[in-house]
Amino acid sequence: MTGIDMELIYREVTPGRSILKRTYLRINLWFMGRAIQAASRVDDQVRREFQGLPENFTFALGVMPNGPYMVVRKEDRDRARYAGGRIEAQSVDLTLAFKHLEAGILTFTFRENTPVATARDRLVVDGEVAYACSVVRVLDIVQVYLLPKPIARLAVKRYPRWPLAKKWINRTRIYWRAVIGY
Amino acid sequence: MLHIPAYYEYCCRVNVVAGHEALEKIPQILERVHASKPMIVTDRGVAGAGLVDLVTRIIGDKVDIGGIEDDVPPDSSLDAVRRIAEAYRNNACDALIAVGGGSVLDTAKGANIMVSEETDDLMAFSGAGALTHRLKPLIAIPTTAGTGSETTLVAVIKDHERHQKMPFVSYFLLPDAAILDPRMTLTLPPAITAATAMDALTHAMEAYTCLAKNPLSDASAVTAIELIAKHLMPVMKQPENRDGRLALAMAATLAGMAFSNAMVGMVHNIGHAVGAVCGVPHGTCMAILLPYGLEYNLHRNGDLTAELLLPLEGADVYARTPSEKRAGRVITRVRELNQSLYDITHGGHARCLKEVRNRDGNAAVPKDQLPDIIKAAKCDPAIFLNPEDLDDEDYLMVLEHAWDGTPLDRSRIKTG
Amino acid sequence: MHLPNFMEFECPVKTHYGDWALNHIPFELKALGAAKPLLIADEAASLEKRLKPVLEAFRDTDMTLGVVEDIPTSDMQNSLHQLSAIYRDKDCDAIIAVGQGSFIDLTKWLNLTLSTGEESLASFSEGRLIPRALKPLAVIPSAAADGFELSGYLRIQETTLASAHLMPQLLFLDPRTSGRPDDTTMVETALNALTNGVETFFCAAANPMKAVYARTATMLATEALCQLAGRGARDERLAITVAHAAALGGCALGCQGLSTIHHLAHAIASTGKATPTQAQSVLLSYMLERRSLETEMNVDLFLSLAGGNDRFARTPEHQRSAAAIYFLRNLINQLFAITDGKIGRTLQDIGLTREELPAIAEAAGRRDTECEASSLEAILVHAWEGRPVDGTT
Repeated sequence: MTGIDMELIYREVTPGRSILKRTYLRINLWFMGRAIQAASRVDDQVRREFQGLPENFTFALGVMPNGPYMVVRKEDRDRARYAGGRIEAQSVDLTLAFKHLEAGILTFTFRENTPVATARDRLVVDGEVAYACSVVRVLDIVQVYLLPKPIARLAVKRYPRWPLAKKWINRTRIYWRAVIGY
Repeated sequence: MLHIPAYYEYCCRVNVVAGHEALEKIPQILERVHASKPMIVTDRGVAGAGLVDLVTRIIGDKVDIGGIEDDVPPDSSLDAVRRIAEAYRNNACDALIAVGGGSVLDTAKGANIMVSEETDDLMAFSGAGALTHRLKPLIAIPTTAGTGSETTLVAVIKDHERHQKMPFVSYFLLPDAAILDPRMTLTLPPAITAATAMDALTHAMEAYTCLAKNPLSDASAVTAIELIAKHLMPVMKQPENRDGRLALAMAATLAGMAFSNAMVGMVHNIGHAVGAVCGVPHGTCMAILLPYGLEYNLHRNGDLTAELLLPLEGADVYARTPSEKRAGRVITRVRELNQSLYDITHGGHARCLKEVRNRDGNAAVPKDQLPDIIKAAKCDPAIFLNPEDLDDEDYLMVLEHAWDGTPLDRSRIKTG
Repeated sequence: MHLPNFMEFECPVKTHYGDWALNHIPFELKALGAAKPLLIADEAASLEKRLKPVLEAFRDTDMTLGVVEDIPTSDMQNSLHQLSAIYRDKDCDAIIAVGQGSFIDLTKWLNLTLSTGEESLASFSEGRLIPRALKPLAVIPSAAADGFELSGYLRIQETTLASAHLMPQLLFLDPRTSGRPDDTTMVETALNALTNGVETFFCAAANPMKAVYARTATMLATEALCQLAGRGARDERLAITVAHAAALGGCALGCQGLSTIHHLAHAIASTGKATPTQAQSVLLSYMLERRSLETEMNVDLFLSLAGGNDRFARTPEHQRSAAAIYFLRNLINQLFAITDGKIGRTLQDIGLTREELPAIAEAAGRRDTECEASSLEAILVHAWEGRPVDGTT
């Protein structure tokens, strides 16, 4: 801007929402939550992790500041229940939240796995941090079940050596249960 | 060598004041932060060593000291925080000076939250993101070299009633200034000098070799390692060496800057567990476990460990060592350092877990407690940024070797 | 490394570097208690459309930003008045600045004015303390930078203020906003960064805390300059590397970083014959050479920063300083060629006459605390002739 009258022009901008990306994440988180619920009924290791958590322990994984989220609650002795996608009305003991939507997309498109997202300060872990290790182990196991090996290897630090039968049978059971929600 | 990740963050907002007469700058610092009546927070050990008297002698005629609270327990406690906050209010103080180690500083940070937020409910501010504005001025004067806690944005306060540890995470918890004065560590006993320096070395090495490294934390870590490598043994031989003490203090702060930005890995993960289960001092755990952490992770980050040979042993050794042998040489050197410290402290510095003695002279880490240690380690999030995973079997293998003092059998390390 | 008997270092800047860095801005502002930032940009940033990715980074946050772009720096006072009024009228509570050079000085001035209510810089130059708690300020620099953006210096006409509290709290370096300047501009920015890095690492006031930023800035700048000089393949992230180097060089500079080279460069620039960047680039190797004569300065370390650990380690100890200087001079010579002489090898190359040197030395000597005017003149003579500095300097 040149000239005598150098009046600066002010405007206000409220950038909107990324509908497609939010929808993609919402679906992934919904399925992940139901898969954790299913895995707690199928996999011994997942059950043991939930056994070590306090009664009614509730954790959430999602995106700041406006979601989407998935909420999972421990029930009975060693099971998990997918408790929906809203954290507002629930008492959550541990939250793992991506600082922004793109960080969530980076993880859920397998460009940054959870350890890398943590290393790159994309994630905030808030609440009962002592149980975060159990939650991350559960997420790792579920990802190994849900994802084909080449992709799961990107998602976890160390791809486990499971018997093929265990992997395929449990994978089928988890997928089926996650779809039907039981 | 420059390692630039796809994304990183780095922050150290602490005003570091270091020197042979750094304590003398405190009145000026208080003036800059518009404070004039600080409360001193410390523990009985530090007070008993005469360090608080030294501070008050130096600043007493220029500063109106609002009170001295020396009742901080080894594990910072909610009770102590409440007491200090109350004393602060009653004495109309306007700043806090923490003289001591990690728990003193954590307690001061907790008290700072209470007096700044004018609350009795500290719990309401736990976690990350609960604090949104500056707290009252806080000056940290570390008395070891050291934990680096003067650079961390974390405080952990233990609620003994509910048997809970409350973490607080915020940039607003960082001290406004950290005063590094060698007079604070001149009389540090040899075993503690050794352990705290190895704590700092571990911070630097883990920050350099684990997943969250970035160029700035790397620069902090490398400088810290250079300083420790150069000055630790001379200070052990000549404890009154002020230049050496200052160098180690700076190294500890630099290592703190490194790890508070790049985090740590399995050495801290297992070390926290050994400390929690068996009461072993943190620095001792770090010294023993450091070579095992480096060894275990070799297949993932051996190239990074190799680079540490230059600051650790200097250019000649680095140049003469073939690149594929450098990482191994680093691990050997750490073990040699532990051996030298063991020799010079006449066994006071343990080289392996079975050598660690508690106050009664008994073995502090019975072998049958290794499973309990593993259980505790599995709940410690320091493992997140370790380059390799550990399951129960892996933990047991590492702990057994660390207990015995034998190198790892690397053929047993699972690589997935 | 050389340890001082006393040091003080403060760097309030939180660095965010890399892919999707901009998307962290809302989170960081919220952590500082801010909800309605004012996004301001200079003319270059507006022309290069560098605001778009910043605004996109606020998607899904429901935050509203005030935006003022295309801000000129030809009349800083006028721009300051208008921006202050806007900030207050529109209830903004943070500033995000996209730009470089004097625009960032304007931004710091704006922040100081808004935070203290005092527009005039006179009281601050006379000793009034700059308060700690200024408004939250985020800076998004590009690869066209003068190296002072992240420093604690505020330079408005003849007034220079220095305080750590003037440094921005937040720095965001994102490939989307590093710009696409031409090679010569990137060379100049990288040389500014190199000067700041080298000077703060090797000067008398060096300390290990400052060295964290200085070391990194030096390594980044050298890496970028080698690519620009044609040594090795060009990285697609070259522009962000240059921006990164300049920003960290500014952090290293802090508020106590001006050294002999800066004073000499300032005095040379006052002749109107060369820019500070051109002057600094020539002088750098001569200052380094002079310092190598004082063994405490560990100039040999430059070889490890610029040439890598292996090169450093295998070079015999007594040859390292010379090898470091050689590396630097060789690089400058190559840059002389690729910038068509804009970056000079000697002071003669950049248009100075020998007769001007004494006055320049005297002017610099009035500000410099490290060297006397006679020493400065000797350095200038060597830099003019292109003759290495020896023990007689």
